[in-house]
Amino acid sequence: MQIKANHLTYTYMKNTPFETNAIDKLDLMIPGEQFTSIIGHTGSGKSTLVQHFNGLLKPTDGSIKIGEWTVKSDTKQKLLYPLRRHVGMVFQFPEHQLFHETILADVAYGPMNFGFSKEEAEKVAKECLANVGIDDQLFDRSPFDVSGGQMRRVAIAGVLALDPELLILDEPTAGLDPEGQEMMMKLFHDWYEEREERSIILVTHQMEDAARYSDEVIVMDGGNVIDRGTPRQIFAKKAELEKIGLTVPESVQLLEALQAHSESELNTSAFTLEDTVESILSFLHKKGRD
Amino acid sequence: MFDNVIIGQYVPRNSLVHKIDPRAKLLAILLFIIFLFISRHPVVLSLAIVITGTTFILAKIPFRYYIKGMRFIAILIFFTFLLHLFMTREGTVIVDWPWLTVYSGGVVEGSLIALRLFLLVLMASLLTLTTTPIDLTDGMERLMKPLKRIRVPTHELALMMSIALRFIPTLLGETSKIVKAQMARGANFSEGSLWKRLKSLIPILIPLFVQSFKRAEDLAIAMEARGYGGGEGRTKFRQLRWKRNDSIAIGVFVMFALLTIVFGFIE
Repeated sequence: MQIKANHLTYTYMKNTPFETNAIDKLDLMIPGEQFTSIIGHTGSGKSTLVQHFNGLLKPTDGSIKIGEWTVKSDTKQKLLYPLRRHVGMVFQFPEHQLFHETILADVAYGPMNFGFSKEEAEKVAKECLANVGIDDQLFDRSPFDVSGGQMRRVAIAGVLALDPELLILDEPTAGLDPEGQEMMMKLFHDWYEEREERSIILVTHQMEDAARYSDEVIVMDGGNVIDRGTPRQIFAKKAELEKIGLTVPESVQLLEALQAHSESELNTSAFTLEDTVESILSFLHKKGRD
Repeated sequence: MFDNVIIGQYVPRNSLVHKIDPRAKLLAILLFIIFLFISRHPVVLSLAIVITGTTFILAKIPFRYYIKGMRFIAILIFFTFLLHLFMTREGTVIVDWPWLTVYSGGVVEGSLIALRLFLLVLMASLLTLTTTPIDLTDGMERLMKPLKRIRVPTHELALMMSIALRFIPTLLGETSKIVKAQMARGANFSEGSLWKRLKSLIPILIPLFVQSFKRAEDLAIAMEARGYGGGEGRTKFRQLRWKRNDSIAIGVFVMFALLTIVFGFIE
């Protein structure tokens, strides 16, 4: 789903002594059917921006077009419900949204809001729970009875159950252990690959995730987009990123250190383990030949 | 979403009212509230209006911000006014329809109660708008000290109040986040019958309760880990100091109280 922001401005606590512009006259186009990451320092406006993508926030000024929906400051809430059917959103710590008596009912809550019958909703819920790796023995347990990692997967199943076209992820791996983080990202990536029309927008502090999974990376600072490009292009600009409090993936840091130390050229834009090993190996081969 | 809530909110400003000792503020407001409801003499009421207005101007709180936060209270005050308007059966009949009679006493009573409530809310919210939660707690604890003799847990009461105040913004933030998360899952809070709307609040209230209990537990552990052991033998780094302005402020409110009593006798 294509997104187009036109002079988008969002002001927090307007007309109070605490008034601040979180987003300032932003123009942005994000093409559909791609995996986009948004990176930026805390307070750069990235979370505020993505909450416009499913109409949770309405622009204070300017407008935003998501697929066929246009949202302005005076757009009626009612018109935004169908939009939320197509744009799913996983918040930071999504397990905080669990409330139902059983895991199955919690996941079925979304579909039932959009008019599914109980049987249909439960059928969808079961599929989604299986996809995120929740055992069917747990379906009738309370969502507050299972482990933290399982709670998060249940909550994510609750969002996927709406079968959105565009999935927005706002730091979905925060607070998970490294293995859990990797599993979670893989789950999202698999979901994305499953169908052609699906897109993902990921807000993250993990440069490794942004580098590894995205087709395009958008860099935000001070409520505006300051740069965008492929992970290769963006993470080649270490100095610029560090100026706004960001960094490059660890693999890039390692290869750049190696390059500086040995004073020879090597490929520094490797974001997976395999690519990194490859780059080091070809460096060693070259060294051996010299 | 909850941008307009001003309960418990502190607005940092460099004003006369901000600098007044919290004990003086608490006492002054206590006096004001008690005596505001004693007399209905026009002189006393206009004095109350002048005092409230002056305090408000001195506090340098932006008027527009304040008005936005008062919207909900205004509805409550309006309903109280209507109740008094229709329920009072005194004075002469002004409106006499088959289904509705309004007496002149109703208009007077309704306006009086609305005015008093308005002044009361204005003053009370000025207290939290101009006093940091820490100062407020210190002030309360000091004022309640005499009660300690009769084994009232004053320190604990003050602590409870400051924790409650401290967590209002946190709770509002939490609520706003959960509301958004459920809206993203298609929750609809503004359509359907009253019963349906009430039921739509369950997905917000349950996570909110769960979170609050968790937070309370975390807070208790954090306090114990840092050796908190109640108020016994605890000394204070920040001492409250009574200044001349504090005496003047109290003086104004004592004068108001005295005048109220005097005019009460004249009536």
